[in-house]
Amino acid sequence: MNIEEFYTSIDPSGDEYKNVMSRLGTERLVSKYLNKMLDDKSFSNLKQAVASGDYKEAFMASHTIKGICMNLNLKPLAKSSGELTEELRDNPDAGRVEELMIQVEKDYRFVTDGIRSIG
Amino acid sequence: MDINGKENKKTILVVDDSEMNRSILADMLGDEYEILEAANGLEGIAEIQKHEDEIALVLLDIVMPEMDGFEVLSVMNKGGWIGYIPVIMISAETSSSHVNQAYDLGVTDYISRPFDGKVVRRRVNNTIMLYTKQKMLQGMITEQILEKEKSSTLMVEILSNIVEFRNGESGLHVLHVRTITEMLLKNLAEKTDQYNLNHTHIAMIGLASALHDIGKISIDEKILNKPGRLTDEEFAIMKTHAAIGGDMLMNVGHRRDEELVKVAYEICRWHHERYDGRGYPDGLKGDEIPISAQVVALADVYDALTSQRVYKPAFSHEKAVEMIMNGECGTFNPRILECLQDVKEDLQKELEQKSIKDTTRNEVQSITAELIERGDVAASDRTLKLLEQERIKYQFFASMSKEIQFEYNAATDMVMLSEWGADYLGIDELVMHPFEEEKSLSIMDREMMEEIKNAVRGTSYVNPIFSGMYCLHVKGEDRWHRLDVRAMWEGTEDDIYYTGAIGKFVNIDESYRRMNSLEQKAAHDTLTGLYNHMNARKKIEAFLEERLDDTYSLILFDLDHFKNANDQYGHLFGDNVLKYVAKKLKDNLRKDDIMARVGGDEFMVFLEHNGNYEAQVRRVFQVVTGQYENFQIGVSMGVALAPKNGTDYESLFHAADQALYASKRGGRNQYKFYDGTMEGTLSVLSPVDGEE
Repeated sequence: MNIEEFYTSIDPSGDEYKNVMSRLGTERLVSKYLNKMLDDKSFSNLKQAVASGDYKEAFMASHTIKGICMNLNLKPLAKSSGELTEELRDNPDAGRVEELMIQVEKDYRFVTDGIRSIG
Repeated sequence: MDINGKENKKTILVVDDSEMNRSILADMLGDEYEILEAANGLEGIAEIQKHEDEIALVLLDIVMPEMDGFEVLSVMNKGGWIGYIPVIMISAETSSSHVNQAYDLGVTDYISRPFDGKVVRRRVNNTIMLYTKQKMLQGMITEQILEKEKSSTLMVEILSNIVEFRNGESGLHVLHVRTITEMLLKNLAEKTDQYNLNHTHIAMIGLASALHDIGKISIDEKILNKPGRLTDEEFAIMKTHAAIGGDMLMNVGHRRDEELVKVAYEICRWHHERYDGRGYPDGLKGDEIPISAQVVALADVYDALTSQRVYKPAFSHEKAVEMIMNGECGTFNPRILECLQDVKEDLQKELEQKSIKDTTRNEVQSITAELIERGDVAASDRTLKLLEQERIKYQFFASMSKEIQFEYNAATDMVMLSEWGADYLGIDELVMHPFEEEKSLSIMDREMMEEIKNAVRGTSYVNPIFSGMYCLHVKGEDRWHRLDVRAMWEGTEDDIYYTGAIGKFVNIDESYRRMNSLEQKAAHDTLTGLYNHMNARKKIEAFLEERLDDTYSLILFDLDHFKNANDQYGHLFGDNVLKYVAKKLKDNLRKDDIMARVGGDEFMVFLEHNGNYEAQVRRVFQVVTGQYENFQIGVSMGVALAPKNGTDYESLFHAADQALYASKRGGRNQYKFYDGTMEGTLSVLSPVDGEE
């Protein structure tokens, strides 16, 4: 898979690929940041924080993931982590957090698996 | 865009907790700018504090650990940085309340994620250009204002303020010289029109007089402020200030032709010439010396005489005039001396009225402050470079010194520690709200902190330094440190306020403990661990002095037939008996009671009592008498009471000694209270008593 194919797997319209290229300029930079995402600890922090009920920490981690995804035009994960962030911001409901977390995890896996398969 | 290449790249500080975001921004902007990165608000503030003069723009995230973007903005507001460092907020937060709050706190622009490389670059460029332009405009306006007559007055006074500050003179010197100069000139103008002195001319000379010592800027501070007499060599250097001051004014470029500059030149160069031709630097004689310089020379001498200096007290007005008239302080134009005679009464009155509160002075101060705040005129590139050098020097020495150096800023309520100091204490270099912060409280408790805080706040503008010994809790260990701290006061006499403090803690743990144990050793008898005679005496004297109203007993006793113990069982046994008695005392008396071994087998006890001294003494007697192995311990004891038998150590000791001797004569193994009839008997402690 190349970068364009990776983005198409997330967004079949091809718009997100165009957007990210226009914002960051070159495939080299896009690939650099996508790979950085694999090293980023925010997701494991998020899982741990949610599991231990530390919603303040969870908010911070979820917020970071959302920011990263927005920068990299990873729409679905940006959306699900964004929703989780909002839930965590004030008086989070434990059940709702669990629920949103499932979607975030699913999107995260999809994105990171995709990045790993970029040749 | 910079055509001068890398050296002159402007610096941008990126404050964002996400490493990836920082990296993206660095990639977007790195070609055109130097990028500094900070991973949270606290680090961001530390960077701003360190590089405040280099940072052209801050890109700031909102949601961050340690300190969020809003807190960073509020610190930047308190610290005054927001006025000259533009901030662009970058965040995924898009709610309008967030955006509004950011604008309220002074951000220039707001970029929401996802950010576009081109947009970020354009907004950053625009903002920096806008600020640069604004600064230039401010600079131009200031320049124009300074062209005006009134502002040249201010400029002159600003410059002379700097000179005075360096000379360590009072702020009044320039003001006085000017007042005296003008009064003398007015009087001279009434006497003669030889010098073409009209009102404008006099005002101009008065104004220029403020610059008379400007050449001193180039004199080494060590010479300038040397308390003692200058050596010939040093004096020769000092003398160069006149010619240098003149040169400085000659180098002002196109303004050299201005009347003010010409007059100032005359004054600077020739205010140390003498009427008889024996002055410097040119040895001009008589009216070869411009009248402006002649008058300022006299004014300078008069004010120096009537002011206190490190090397001399202040002379009275009368004495100063007398000394000048008698030619003790140089030779002056007789006409000007006549003027001094004429105006001397008025002069004294006038000078008394001129105080630091003078309006022009206030104006100078507010304008100086304004200039500094704007950071444009006052902080030229050269100044900034110098400051940067100072900072490097400071950091270097701080890292070598093994001292915890710190700087406390009261407005922002934060402490900056030297790198070494922070490392040594195991905390961050920057601590916000140190009086509340857990980490700093783990090093010194709240009480100690309050004590130091109050002591520092309790210093004064004149006496801003405080020192003390404090035991800090460093990485799990208690270590003694010496604290030296200087409070920073700003403002004028009537309106002084506290802006913070600088200082250092130095680890003196080892020497402190050594000293303490030496003191302990010196104060105590090595065999028994009780006080020795000298220190018991000191302690007792302190008690008697401080607490006059209390009642005490001073008990003196020695062991009966102690010599036998030594002879029969050996000295080691004798020592053990003494130790045993000491231990009995320690175990049975109160901690505050004073117990001492004052001689071979002589002991002294000093106790506070509340009336029932008889029972107390009996108890002491019973405690120390008894059996130690095969030796029967009996004691002869004498007691003196304070204040009944005396109120000072000497008389109490003497009385107890007399009573002890009476006990011995009475058959030993008993105690006696002093009474007058014992007086005149022999003393136990006198050499006559060699019986045991």
